[in-house]
Order: sequence, then C-alpha cells, then structure tokens
Amino acid sequence: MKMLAAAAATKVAEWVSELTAVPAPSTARLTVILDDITGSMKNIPVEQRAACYDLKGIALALLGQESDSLGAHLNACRLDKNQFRFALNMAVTYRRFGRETESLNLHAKVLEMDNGYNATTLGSLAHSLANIGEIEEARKALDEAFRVCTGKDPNELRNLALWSANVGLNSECVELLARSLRCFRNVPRGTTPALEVLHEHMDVLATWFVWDYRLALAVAQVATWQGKFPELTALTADLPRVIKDPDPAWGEVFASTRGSRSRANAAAAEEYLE
Amino acid sequence: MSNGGYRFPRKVLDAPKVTDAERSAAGLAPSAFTPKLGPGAVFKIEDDDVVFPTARIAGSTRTSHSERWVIVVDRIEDSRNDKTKTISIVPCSASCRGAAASFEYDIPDPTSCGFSKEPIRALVHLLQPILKSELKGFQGQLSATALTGLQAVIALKFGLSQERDRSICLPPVAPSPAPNG
Repeated sequence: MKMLAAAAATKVAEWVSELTAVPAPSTARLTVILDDITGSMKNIPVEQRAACYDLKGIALALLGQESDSLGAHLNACRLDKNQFRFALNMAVTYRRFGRETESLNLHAKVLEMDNGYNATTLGSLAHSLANIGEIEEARKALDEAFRVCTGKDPNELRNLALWSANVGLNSECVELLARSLRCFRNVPRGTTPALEVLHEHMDVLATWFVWDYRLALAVAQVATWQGKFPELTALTADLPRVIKDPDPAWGEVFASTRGSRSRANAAAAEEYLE
Repeated sequence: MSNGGYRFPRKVLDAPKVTDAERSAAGLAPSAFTPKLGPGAVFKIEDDDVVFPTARIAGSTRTSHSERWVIVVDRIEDSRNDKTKTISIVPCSASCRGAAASFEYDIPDPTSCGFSKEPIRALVHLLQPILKSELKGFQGQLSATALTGLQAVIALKFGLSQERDRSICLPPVAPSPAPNG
C-alpha cells in the first residue's frame, strides 16, 4: 500500500534528522534506519524516492559499505538530476572512501547546478582540496564559502568550522563554532570572545569533539597559544601569506567581532606576561 | 549555473596523475597519507631514518630497532603541501625510564593516540626533518591535551617560552649597581 505523501515526507525528515546528527548514530541504529528505508522503498511516493536513495547512500557510507553506498547515491542522482544535494552527498561519500578525484569532479558539477553554489558545497570542496594537499586552493574556496555563508544555519556554521580546522585556520574555526553554538541556542552572537562562548556551551561542544577530533585540536591550539606571543604575531603579520589576497573575504565576515577578539588576545597576552 | 566569483580550480584535476611510487621517488608521502598529515599525527618510520647525533660520539653504541614511532609537529599548511618535501618530527621512545627532562615529554594515555606500548616519551631534543616519503604507516593522532603539552615543551626548547617558576626569580627591586673601585 502506498504511503501518503505527507506521511512519507515526515518519515524522510526523520531519517534526515538522524543521519545528519552529530555525532552520527551508532552502528546498531544505522542498521535499523537502513532496514527502515529499504523496507519503505516500495511504498514511498515517487517524488520521495530519490531522497530515500540518497539517505540510503548516507547510511551505507556511515556503515563503511562503499560500493552499495555509491550505488544508492547514483540512483538518487539519476532519479533527480537537478537536486544538487544528492550530487553533493555522493561527492562527500567519494571523499569518505578516499576517492578524492571523483569527489572533486562531482563538486565541480555541483557548483554549476541550480542552488549548488553555496557555502556548504564550497566548504566541502575546500575539505577535499585540503585532503590532496592543495591548501592554497582550499583556502580560496573556503574564503568564498565564508563570503556566501548566510550565518543562519548552525549545522552549516559547524561544518564550516570543521573545514576551517582542516586547512589550519584555527581562529576561524573557533569563531565559527561560537557562531554555530549561539545559533543553535537562538541567541545573537554578540561581542563575547569566542572562547568564552565555547566555554558556555561545553555540553554541546563535547559531542562535536567526539564527532571530529580536529575541532578539539583547533580549539586547544587557540586556547593554548592565541595571544601568547604578541610580538611574534606582529612579526609574522608582515610575512607573505599563503594566499596573496590583500583583503581576504573572511576578514569581512569576521569584522564584526574583530575588535573583541583583539581585546581578548591583548587581555590573554597581558595575563601571560604578568 | 555558477553565480559567484569563485572558479573551480580545474588545473588541480587536469594535472598529470602521479602514482605513489613516483611520489615516493620525489620524496613525497603516499597520497593516502596527505589527509592525515598535520600536527600530532603519529607515524611509523624506519629507525635508521632518525638521526641520533650522540651515536656519533666515539665509543657510543646505538641499539637498532626495526621501526621508530614519530610525531609530526609541522602545521597543516606545510605538512600537506607538496612544495615542502621534508616534515618535522619528534622521535619517540618506549624504553625511557625515570622522570622526563625538560626537553622530553611523556605522552599522556599513549594507547588512545595510536601507540601500541606505554609509557611513550617524545624526545623533543631530537626534533628533526625527515623526507615525507620516509613516513611508513599512519598510527593515530595525539589528543588535544597531548599535542598542546608537546608544543609547550617545543616552545620551551626553542626559547619561545620559559618555565613559569623561573619568571619570578628576579628580586622585587633592582639592586643598585656595585660601586666601581
């Protein structure tokens, strides 16, 4: 018996919520979700079928089943050639299994699709570029991701934080985490130094650190070293940057909190020198 | 349709494909290692690839091992970039006994960082560059606490920092200079 469209949409939304949760569901839970998706596939309305294949691909990828996962993603992309999200999720799965070239090719296609040119695609592309050692190109893509980021989606901000950490932009990572945490709690970012914001939300942050250790590393680097070498920072400011951009986009994005961050750095340096 | 100023770096995909054997011959690590490279990454290398200057002292001996575990300390930008063929590592030892010196660091909870033995001591005074192609196997990643602890010892070694208890050893008021004659 066919599932009603509204019921199917609710079901799909539930699966999306679980499969994109941070940290990811346990293996046992993933298996249950996968069985649920597979069992519902025949009864699901045609318009939801592509989404089901996409979610099946994500679940299988999280379970480490490469070929089945990519097969499901391919079905999703064939059923709905215009949905950039399906192609992007397939690109992410390629990356998960170390197939960086295929992942990069697909990212290039997603950027050309309707609505595909967005912060998530650009950030994910930056992640893939960094994984093949193209750090300069990765930072260019990330700068553009910062520029087009709406700043209103906490998941997007958190993902951008991870991608920043993956290209060595630890300060940006911390600031993005602060924005994401405030966004999750529906509180304006304000001018509180980022590390203080993180400290206020340690309960959520702890689960994110479990999700990806790179977030913990970036926060630790900033918390430990930021502002500790003010003279050194002044000297390195004159060194050539990896990206020769006189006015990088992230500078605009973070301009609103730059003053407060500088003050926090100065306070940290003062405390250190005391 | 693309609607932004950013253009996909097609040259990255158009570049000729390089096999891991060719990368190794050029001094670079296998491409599968690249995403893992960054501060705190734990790798195995050939023991002979680590220089122990004290082994050159006349009469001294060096116990040879089949492998040596090392910790990458270069930042992500330099460790993943193919333009730099060397990478800075801190060699580790599982046979050190007694308290760590100021130029050594005992890795907290080493088995959770990928080490197969414990205790593990990072020999910070032997921090040295090796070729990226000499990295043989990725083992794990230092925790945030262990990495910042190691970096603190490195900062100390290079004179970028000093021990906290040394910074208050000046007299509260500078004494008058001793009279000449």
